[in-house]
Amino acid sequence: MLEGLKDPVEALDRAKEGAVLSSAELFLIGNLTWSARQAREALMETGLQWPACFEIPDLKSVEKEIFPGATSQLSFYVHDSYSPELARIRQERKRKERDWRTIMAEEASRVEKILGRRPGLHEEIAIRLTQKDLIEKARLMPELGETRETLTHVHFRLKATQEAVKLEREIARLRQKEAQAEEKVRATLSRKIAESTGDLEKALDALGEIDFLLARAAVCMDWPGVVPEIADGPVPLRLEGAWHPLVREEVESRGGRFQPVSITLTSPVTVITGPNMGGKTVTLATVGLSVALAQWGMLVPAKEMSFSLCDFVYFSSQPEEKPGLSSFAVEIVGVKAALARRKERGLLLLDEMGSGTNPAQGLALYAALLTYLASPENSACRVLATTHYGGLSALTGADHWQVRGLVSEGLDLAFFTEANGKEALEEGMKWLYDHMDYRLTRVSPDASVPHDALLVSRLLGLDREIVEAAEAIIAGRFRRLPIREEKP
Amino acid sequence: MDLADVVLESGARSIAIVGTAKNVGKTVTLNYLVGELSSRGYTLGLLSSGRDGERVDVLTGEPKPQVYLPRGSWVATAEAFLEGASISLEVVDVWERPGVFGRLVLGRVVEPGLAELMGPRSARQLSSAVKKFLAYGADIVLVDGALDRKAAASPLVTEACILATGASSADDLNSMVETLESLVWAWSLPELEDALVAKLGARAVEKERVALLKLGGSGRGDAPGRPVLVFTEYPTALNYEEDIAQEIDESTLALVVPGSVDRVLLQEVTASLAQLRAGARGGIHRGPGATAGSRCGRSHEGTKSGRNPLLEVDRALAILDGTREGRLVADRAGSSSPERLPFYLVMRDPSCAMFRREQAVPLERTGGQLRVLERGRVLAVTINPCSSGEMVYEPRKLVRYIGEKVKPVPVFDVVSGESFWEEVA
Repeated sequence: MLEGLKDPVEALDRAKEGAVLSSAELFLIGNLTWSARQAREALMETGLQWPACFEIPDLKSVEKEIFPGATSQLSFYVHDSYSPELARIRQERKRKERDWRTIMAEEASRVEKILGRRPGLHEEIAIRLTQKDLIEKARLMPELGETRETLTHVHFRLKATQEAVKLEREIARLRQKEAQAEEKVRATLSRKIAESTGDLEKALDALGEIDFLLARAAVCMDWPGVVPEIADGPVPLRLEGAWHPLVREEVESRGGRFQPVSITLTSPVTVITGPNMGGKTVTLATVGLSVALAQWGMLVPAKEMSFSLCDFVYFSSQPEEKPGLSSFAVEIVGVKAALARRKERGLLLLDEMGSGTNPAQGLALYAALLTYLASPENSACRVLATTHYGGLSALTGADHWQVRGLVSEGLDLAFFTEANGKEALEEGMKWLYDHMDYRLTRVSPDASVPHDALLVSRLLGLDREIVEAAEAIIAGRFRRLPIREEKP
Repeated sequence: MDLADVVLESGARSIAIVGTAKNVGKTVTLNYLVGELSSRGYTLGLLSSGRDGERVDVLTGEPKPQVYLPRGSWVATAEAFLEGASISLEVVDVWERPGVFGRLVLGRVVEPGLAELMGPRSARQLSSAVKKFLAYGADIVLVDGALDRKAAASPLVTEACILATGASSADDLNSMVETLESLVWAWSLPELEDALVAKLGARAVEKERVALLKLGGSGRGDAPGRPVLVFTEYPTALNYEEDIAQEIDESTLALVVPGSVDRVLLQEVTASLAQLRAGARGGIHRGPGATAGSRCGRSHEGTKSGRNPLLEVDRALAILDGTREGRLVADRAGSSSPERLPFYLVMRDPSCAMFRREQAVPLERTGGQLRVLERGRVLAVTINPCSSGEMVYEPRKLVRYIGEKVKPVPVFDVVSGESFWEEVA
């Protein structure tokens, strides 16, 4: 139904500005009225009460203006029926053209009688140089004019008689009048369209809504999603077995198994900790996407979901640096903007805020922000925040969820540290994917954060010496090697 | 018999008119056909491939001849070309088209006259416009192929083509004839005889991957002689000619290239084949590491995981084996003499051949054969003996000279009316 709809926006804008639309533009507007009528009838057939945004105004009067005759195929031409004046001019022009053709045909017949052949395309005759007598004859004929001579041929053209020349002039004049009359018709149509732009635009918007609705329905048929439970009052945001379609597709395309996300946000602020590569960011994205999809009226890719509507979703992802702003500054500027709406029921998803600055101040700032947002006097937002900082949850009293993390039994670390190159890296990644338990569990606020960074670095093939030195630092038995002397 | 008779007798309902260079009288040919066919009562569809609508030739500054659009024909033109034109159209469709000429307007000619044609840019859209005109009721659709726009003549777009050439298309007659001969030759390249191989080839083209057809050649315990299609990671051969050619081994029956095939690929494939024939390169059952450096991914076969992300074998194809279609495969598998084994370089269609005929000779000498999935069809060659209005060659002599070179394809000069073709007994 909507497949045949073309983009009429530019033509509509031009009509609004008072421009005279071209035939192609009038076709586009006609195409809109035609599509709108089809959609309108289809909606009425459902017998349902459709919301106002789907309401398509009746455009029959505009459609009738543009396509006065009923046609099986959608097409536009400035027909005679639009204007009696135009019809009269065209008739006259056609009569004169017929007269002209009659005169020229008579001339051509005279030429044929003498030369034995008729002028062809563009009233031209080409005679081979070898046919000297024919060329001489042609040169003497008043009906013909010589146009050019080539290596092999002499070319002649049928000359128009005085009467024909007169007719040609009149035809040209009539053509000019015809063009003016056509423009007048198009101007009238354009004006009528301009008067109806309100309804036309409303129809276009409604068609857009229908298109979007159909697209959402199509997606819902693709995903085995769920209808979320939307509560009236404030309830915990609960997701069971949720997945991020893009991440899942990526994981499964490399032969991996996607572990769905289950989490319940009961208090205003919830903190997630877990190892690197543990899927913390994916959890944030999944929660954000689920809420957004639910609020767009789509099925949510999950087993179960219940929540109450949000006014907005804010996602502070790991920022990329912008010119003149460090990643830390980008974060701060972004959060400041979100805080301006803190009295609304927003969902703030914060990914390791403050990790771009010194740890003590970063932690302090993050904790202060979360504590501020947790207070009902300051904010009505719900916050989900990831972090590597131990103690953030304890400091703020926030709910604490943790990724189960790496199951390192049976790990042959020597293989990864001794092998090298691309293959080892691929193997390391594969081991990580296979041995990471991405599930989240609720833990106490002061549960310690995992120390998997060194193991992960090792798996990713970082030099063994460096990783071991790091282990020594943690264990407090680090001995600094002599520093290399730089020659000036 | 004239050019219009040739067109009508061919039964082709869509025909591209392709110029071998600029100013070769392509539009003269088109106008001739429009005049002849419409005066015989045929309804035409007319469009051009890509940009061909300048009123003045951008290179030479000469005025370009416009096309006569007869009443009732279905045409595609640019919105900009309709302004102030003597023709008028009943608009039946409007397509968005990027470019300075504005939207593409499809319509039926109400007031006939001279105008410039326009068309969509991609072969796919061009093909859908051709189909649309036929559906509207055109008897024959003529596609004006813009300069070196061989795409219009691709069997994907039109059923047949007419090649327009002229004395101004090359500095001298010889190189003009060479170009023409190469085109006629490419457009008559045979299709794959074996339906199974053709099916597999079509699969590679559909997937837009350069692929090799091997007989049990995946090295994973497939039964010998069982055909498998091995996809490389490359959508085209461009820049990876050497790597792709190195993948050819004794078990390779065909290399299928979805995009264009150029001289470099021909050279690399020839070299690779020659090495194989001389026994200088090993077969497929090499140990891991033997092919280190290969970018088609076989080097990954020896790794611990055994998973090779770059090399994908289409196993579903094996079920086709054993049917009557697979004769070529069966013959090949049963053959014990390595010298006589065929090897096919398979192109989508002749418009993908970006090389001259003589550049394919070394491959053929080494035992390789060129094949297409969709065969082309050249109905006729038209010549223009003039260059910039100056007569350069005597039409009768030129028509005969070229006729001898491209026979059995008939040759016409539609201006002088000279023609040449060999009666095929």
